[in-house]
Amino acid sequence: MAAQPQPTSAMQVVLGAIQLPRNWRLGIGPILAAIVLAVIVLATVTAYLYVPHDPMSMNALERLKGPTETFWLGTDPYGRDLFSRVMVGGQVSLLIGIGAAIVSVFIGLMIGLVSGFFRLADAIIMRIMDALMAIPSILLAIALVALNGPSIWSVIFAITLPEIPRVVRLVRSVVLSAREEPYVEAAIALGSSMPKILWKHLMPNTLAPLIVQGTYICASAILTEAILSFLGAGVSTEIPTWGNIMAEGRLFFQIKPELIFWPGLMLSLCILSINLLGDTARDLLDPRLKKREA
Amino acid sequence: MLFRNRQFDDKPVALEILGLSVATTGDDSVPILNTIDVTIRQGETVCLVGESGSGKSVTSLAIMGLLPKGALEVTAGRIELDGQNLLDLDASQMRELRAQRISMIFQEPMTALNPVMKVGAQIEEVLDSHTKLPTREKKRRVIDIMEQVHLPDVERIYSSYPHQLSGGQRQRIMIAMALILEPKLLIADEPTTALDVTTQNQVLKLIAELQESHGTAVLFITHDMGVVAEIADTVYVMRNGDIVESAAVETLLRVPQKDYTRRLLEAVPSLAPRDARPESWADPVLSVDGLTKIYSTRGLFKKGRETRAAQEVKFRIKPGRTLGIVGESGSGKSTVARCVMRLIDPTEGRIKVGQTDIAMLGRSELQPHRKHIQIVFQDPFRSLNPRWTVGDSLIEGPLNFGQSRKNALDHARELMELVGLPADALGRYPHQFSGGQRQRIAIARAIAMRPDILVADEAVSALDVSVQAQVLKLLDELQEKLGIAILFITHDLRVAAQICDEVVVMQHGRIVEHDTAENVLSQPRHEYTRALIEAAPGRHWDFANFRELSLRPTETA
Amino acid sequence: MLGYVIRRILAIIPVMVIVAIFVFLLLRLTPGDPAAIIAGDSATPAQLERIRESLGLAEPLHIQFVTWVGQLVQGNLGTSIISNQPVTRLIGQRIWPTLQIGTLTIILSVLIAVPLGVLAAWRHRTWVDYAVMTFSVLGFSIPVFVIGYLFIKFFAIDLRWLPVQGYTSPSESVQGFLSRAVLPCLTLATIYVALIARMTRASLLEVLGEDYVRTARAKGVKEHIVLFRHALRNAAVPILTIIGTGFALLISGVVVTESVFNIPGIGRLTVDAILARDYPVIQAMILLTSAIYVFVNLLIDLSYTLFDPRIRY
Repeated sequence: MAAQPQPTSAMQVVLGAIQLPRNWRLGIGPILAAIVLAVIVLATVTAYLYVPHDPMSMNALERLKGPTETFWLGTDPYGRDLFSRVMVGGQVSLLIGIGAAIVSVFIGLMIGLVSGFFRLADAIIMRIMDALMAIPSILLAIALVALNGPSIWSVIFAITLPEIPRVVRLVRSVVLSAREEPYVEAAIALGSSMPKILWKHLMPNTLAPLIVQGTYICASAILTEAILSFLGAGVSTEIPTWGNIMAEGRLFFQIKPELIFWPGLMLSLCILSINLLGDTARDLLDPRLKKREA
Repeated sequence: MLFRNRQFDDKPVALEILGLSVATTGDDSVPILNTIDVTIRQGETVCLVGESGSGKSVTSLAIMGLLPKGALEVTAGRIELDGQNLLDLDASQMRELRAQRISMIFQEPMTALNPVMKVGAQIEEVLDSHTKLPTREKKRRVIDIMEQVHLPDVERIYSSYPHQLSGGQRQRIMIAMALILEPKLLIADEPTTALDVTTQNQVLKLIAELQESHGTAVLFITHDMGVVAEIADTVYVMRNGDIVESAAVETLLRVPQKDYTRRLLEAVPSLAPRDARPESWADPVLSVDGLTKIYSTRGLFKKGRETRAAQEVKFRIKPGRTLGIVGESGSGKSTVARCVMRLIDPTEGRIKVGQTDIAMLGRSELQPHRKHIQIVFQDPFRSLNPRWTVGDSLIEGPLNFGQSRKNALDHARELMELVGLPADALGRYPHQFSGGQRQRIAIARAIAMRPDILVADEAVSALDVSVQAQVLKLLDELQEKLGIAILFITHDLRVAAQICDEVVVMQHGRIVEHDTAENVLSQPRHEYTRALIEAAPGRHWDFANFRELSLRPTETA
Repeated sequence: MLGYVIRRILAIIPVMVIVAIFVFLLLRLTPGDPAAIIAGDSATPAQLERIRESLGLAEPLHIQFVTWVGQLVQGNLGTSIISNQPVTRLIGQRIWPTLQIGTLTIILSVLIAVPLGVLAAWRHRTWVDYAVMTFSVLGFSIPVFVIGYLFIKFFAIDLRWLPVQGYTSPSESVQGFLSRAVLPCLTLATIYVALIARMTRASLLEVLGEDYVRTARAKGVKEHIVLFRHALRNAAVPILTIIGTGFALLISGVVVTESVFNIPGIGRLTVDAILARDYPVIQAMILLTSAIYVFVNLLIDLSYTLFDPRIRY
């Protein structure tokens, strides 16, 4: 161990923030979840390299076919290959999930830090957050997409906005309890400036819970994307996403339930593994839980 | 009567622990108790005394069969109550036995009572679980035991919730609950540690009184030698899961046999004040005048309610001197410390650090004055940022005042040696240090600013007595070397006696007495001060010298 | 106590005002011509003009706001652009199915979820606990409409136990109502049960580690009394809270479920309005559901005092 402390880099702050309990062990569930997620992500990202058909090309002669040698999972109402569409469709869903998680965590962190530390701003910010929380997220998202148009970015924005108050509340509560810690008071006594205390003492406390929250947001964003598409207020129907494929399958559900079943399975597996990993991260990172299960 | 000096050799054995071992469960099991033997006779009070981690609480939980499942387990030995081995009983037999034949009271009366149940119902629950009495009879018995523990206004308290009662009342409820079925054995795990000294005194007396009248055997667990002297018949000294020594209380305090016991006793601060230091003629570095802090809660529909946390507080400290502020919880002593540090804003008054009044300065005007006055907090586990290396913590202040990183680190290394820690430990994190070491680091961090005044807010209260003695010594040495003035906040008269030149006694936010340490301790003028001194457990005994305390007369009564 | 109630009620005013401002600005701050957005690409200038007029878009922003709030206060939520009917009447026609199914779902969910959560906490780290937790993670991970279709496929199409879709009013036929309400309720309840069961378990586990639970055991109190009288009541506040915040999920679920099962409730009304860009209806629905959410959470806040005597400031 170096005797001389080096200047703390951002990476060290992050790593220092994540303190794993001693001799932790992963159960079979989280390992499986990680493998499943890795396979889905890999298969989705590289989809264009191996899918047998162009996921967009319609063929009126091949409508609603069952599984055959050429169409592994059959075809959709426009004669497009379901397998190709499902594999490619994950790309947009994952992009939206990850995008929404990163954006809402980042914005929520900034607002939450300010809110947790400055009383005046806090009163106003929290009222706005309460109001945002009161609006059912799906309705808000639908309205935003309806107004801003069905682009991917507009969907990410529509999903992100309702998530922000939850992140803000989380960050704020962590900051509020951390600022009572004697080491923060000691920093005040040592003449450290408010921005420095906020960033170097308080912010690192929020990282572990934010990682957990981020995974949950990612999962729920993928889910919301599907619901938006299903309701006809998602990404433009020309783009294959899991939600859009299922939405198109609605009308033919009684004839060919696979149209909903396959993308639904992929989506659910994906969300399930993200949620399980989130739970694992929480169990490992949440000190309250650690204490309880010690 | 100095000690209880009662004889129990002819009494039947109530509880006998034989070769009891407890270890953590799992593959790499760590021993917690190593084949300990304890005997408690009927009507006897046995004290288990030891520092944190000695295994005294584990012993009590093992007797009750309440060791945390999946964490600790008994690996060997017997626990015999009236000749019956408790370790052979199954869960429901153990449940039957609790409260009927053994009961237990805990340290924190606030958290040990169910917050959403009325206390009367909580006592009654004991009867519900073990007897089949008619409702009226149950209530009569509950009221009866509540009267026995001297609760006032029993009918009202019967239907109160725990949060509506004081700490002392809550602990009385716990005692009532424990004794209502007249058990053979009462286990008391640090039952007075969370209480103020005057309340502690009353609760100790109550336990002794009820023990006499019910003939209960008591296993009393404590870390406080004063309490031991007050209540014990027999003492077992524990350390790291072993019984180091056991003897009748007077024998143990007069002629301890083992080195560890001697060291433990020597570390107990004496109530006799330190020798007076020559008067200093220097100008005061800190003078506080008319300091008042009022908290007002103003609701939309409520009239504003004001809490006067501190009122008209006035004192001065000269360089190289120590002023103690002594008082019970809620006396306002910490409010004063936090106002002086400007961690909270005083409502009124002057706080002169050197020549400047900092009481009303704004945040940026205040900043340059911060370096003159530094603070050390109570809890060594929370006063250092767990994610920062010790080095980073030590140089935080100097960097704020324009020192270069290299100079600050060089200075930090010197400071580590000054407080008795290896200089090459700067790269380590706080969790790699013990509580006492962390408190040294916290002191070093404060000293790094080269302050004129050091505020120690209960700075040794969370430490074991031997560590406490070392940290007090360190503060004394630093004062000698650096000529620093210390404002020492404490609830513990013994600690105040050892370190302070002057003592301020506070009650309800006001100063009730202010004099030299010697005068306050030996000729207290205010009745509250007298009550505090009288309530100090073991005040007649000079533990460090193994004899009676030859103090000038303290009380008139 | 009364002061607490009044203060709680007053506290919802700023929230509702901000919601209203938000809803108002939602359309007006969207880049582009709001009227064009609503009318769609194939609108004629006359249609645009009509929309502008009915929403008062020509006026300055603050005048629009004052007019709008003035109407709101009088209970006027505007007029649907598509059907030309007052929005209040539309809502009045469609709200009953939603209320019936929503209430049934909440009761069902709480009755299933709380015992499940208690069971999981009581049997912590046994197969029971793992089973409940697995169910609850699954409940979060499958989209509501997929659950709905799975239920339809299984119970209605394959087993033919229940009708596929539709709604019958209980005033017409109670049996008909129930047979058509079972599947939507179960569908809606899945995520809600998952949420509440999870919180019940976590909250109970935390309480079971408290000192007063140890005290109760030290008194020799029987284990089921420890669990229900001591632990569950102390765990109640977080459980209630999640029931309240989870209500938002329920509202979202209603929108989807009514589409899946073809129920003529306000959820369908909303979806139809969105597809037709019927802005006055969308606006009214957001306001209404937010108000319901705030009101439910107010009730829950007030109910805390029943469970915890310390909350009474």
